Amino acid sequence: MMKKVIITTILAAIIMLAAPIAEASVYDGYDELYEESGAAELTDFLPEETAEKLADAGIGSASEEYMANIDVSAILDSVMEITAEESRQPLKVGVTVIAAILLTALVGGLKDSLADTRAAQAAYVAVAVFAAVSALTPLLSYFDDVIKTIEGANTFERGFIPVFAAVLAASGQTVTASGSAAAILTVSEISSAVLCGTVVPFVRIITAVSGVSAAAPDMSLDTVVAFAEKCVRWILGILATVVVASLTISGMVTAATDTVAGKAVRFVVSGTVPIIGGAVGEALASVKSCVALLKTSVGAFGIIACGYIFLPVIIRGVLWRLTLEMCSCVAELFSAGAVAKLLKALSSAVGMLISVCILMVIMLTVSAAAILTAGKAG
Amino acid sequence: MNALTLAGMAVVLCMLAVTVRQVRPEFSVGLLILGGCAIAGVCIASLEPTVRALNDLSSQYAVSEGFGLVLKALGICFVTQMAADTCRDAACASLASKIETAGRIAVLAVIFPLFASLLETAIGIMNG
Repeated sequence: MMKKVIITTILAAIIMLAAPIAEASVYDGYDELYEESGAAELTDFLPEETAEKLADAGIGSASEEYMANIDVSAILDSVMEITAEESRQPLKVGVTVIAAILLTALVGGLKDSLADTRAAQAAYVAVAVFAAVSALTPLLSYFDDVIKTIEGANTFERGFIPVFAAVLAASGQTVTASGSAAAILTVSEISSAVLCGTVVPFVRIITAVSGVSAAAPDMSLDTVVAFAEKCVRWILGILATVVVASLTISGMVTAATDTVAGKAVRFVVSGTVPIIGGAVGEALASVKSCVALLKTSVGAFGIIACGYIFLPVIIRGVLWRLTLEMCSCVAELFSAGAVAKLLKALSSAVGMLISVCILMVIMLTVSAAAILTAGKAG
Repeated sequence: MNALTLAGMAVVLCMLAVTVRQVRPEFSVGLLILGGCAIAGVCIASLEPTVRALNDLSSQYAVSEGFGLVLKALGICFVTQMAADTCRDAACASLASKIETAGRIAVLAVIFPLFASLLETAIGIMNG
């Protein structure tokens, strides 16, 4: 009896002394896991500008230290800074196009004497061509930036996914890790291939045709643009549905497999290790929670980074759209029908590009979130 | 010069032309041409501040040089139209029509760099 009491006391003392050590080792384990998983180098895969902007917003890395202390006001400040930076070019083009519209109004104001003559028609074409050149030249760089951004996001995903998979594997979700890595990489590759190879060139053609049509005021673009919009909407819709559905199903299946595997491991440990089997099982759970913390912080960093990669082009696109729509309204106000039509067509093209960027963000975010959510099941 | 003075000038010119036409019809045409040129000159001069403001605006926002070309095209339009109207006043409709065609060609020649630029940009957009 005495023997049992001594053994129990010693075990209790060991457990009590081990508790803070275990806690310390959890945090040591976190740092070690953070370094070894490669999460510390995640920022290296980001485009340079995005990494700088994230650092400005107080998100220097995927570490729990940064992710637990996200400052919303710093993020808002950085968004405002990006908005101010990106608004320069659309504003400049807006002023140019409005100047061109004012010139058209100048011609239109002399309707009885000038507007119906053949020379005036040539002047109208000149104004419309000038508006087209003014708006198209900066749009050319916007197209390039959209493609660069999609490629940048793809590069980041290629770096992020192996790290995320390593963290998931460390948490015992080996099936989810391999499944999610493969799924997200496939999503990223297929999406960027379809968007950069099909949708963006399609939008490019529409934009070019719209621009050239400025030289032919009688050409009606409305149906062409409407058709293009419909096509792009269909492609994006199908892509989003297929991707999200396949990711969700893959995440659910792999997470369920891992849940069963995780429970089996805990059961085996608890059952086979004598006396302290239960405690080891609990320790396993605490290690798992540490890994879960890392998994959440890495996943959240991935989601935020994806958002930040696309934020400048989305903001610029929105500003472009606002500017073009506003100029189109001004053109209609001054009865410059050809310029108004052209600006509306360009605005639609920019709208399609914004949809492409938003779809990419949503797909990458949903894929990361689906895996994070699926991971919680284990 | 305000619009009222301009209107007064036009009415006086018209009365003079009608009076002269009864005595020496050939002088009446000359009078109308001179008067028309004067009125057009005043109109163009009164446009100067607007054009200057547009130019300032374009240089302030570093707008492309195409803006100057568009202004030049508009100028050609005004001059062509004035010449064509004068020809019509002198009962030379075919000449007026030819002047308009010439003006159109001149406008197209002036804005040709814009067309070239537009085509280049469009090709650049399509090529990626």
